[in-house]
Amino acid sequence: MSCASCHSPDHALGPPNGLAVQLGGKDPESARPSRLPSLKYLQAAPQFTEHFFESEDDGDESIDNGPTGGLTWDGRVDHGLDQARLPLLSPFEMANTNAADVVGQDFTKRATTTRCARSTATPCCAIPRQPLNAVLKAFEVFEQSYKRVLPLQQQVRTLISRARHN
Amino acid sequence: MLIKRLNPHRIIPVLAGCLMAFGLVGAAPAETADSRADVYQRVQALEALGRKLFFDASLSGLWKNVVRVVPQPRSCLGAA
Repeated sequence: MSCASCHSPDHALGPPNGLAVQLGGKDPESARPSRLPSLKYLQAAPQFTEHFFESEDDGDESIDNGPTGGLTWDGRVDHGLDQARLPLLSPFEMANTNAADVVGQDFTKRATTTRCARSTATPCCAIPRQPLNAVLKAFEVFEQSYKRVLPLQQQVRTLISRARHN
Repeated sequence: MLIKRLNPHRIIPVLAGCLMAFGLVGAAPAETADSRADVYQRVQALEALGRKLFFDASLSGLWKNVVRVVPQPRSCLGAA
């Protein structure tokens, strides 16, 4: 099971089947306790707050909209880096018991195969010191990729760019 | 009195030296800061790694759990 098993790139990074919940974890019959969301456009979610007020430009700034923002169904994390940690260590999903299970001993070998285009001396992913943090940071950056995860933003940027040139 | 004793010909080189020293100290962090090209390069590498890991089934703990439960998983598949 990989991330793409449930967040299928062919299905808007959402579930690839019609099931209400997805199966995973150690027990093949165990189900994820909530519906699986798409990973697209998560960068637009604001950080969690119990009292969200819109800006003056967006609406009435005097109205308390209540709890808003954050990632996952209850907004328990604010950053993609922290969100990526949850399915990796969840017993209902990828079922790793700790960080060492995730990265394994062969992570260094895999990571060093991805190097900077110009500087081949130092692997770029060595910047986060902890290997698990490198994995999570890589997921966070990938989830903000315009080409795959945020195609609508890319189309808007392209249209704006064309309009400026014309 | 003190101002009268200070010789401008001696003070000016000392002040120039101090200014140069402060300038070097101030310039040091700028040399170690990442350039925009470095940041873009690092983001590209992280994105490539993230894309690779996104499809990597070995990040799952499921296979490791099978190995823990069954000492010789090949025996389950009929191999010797």
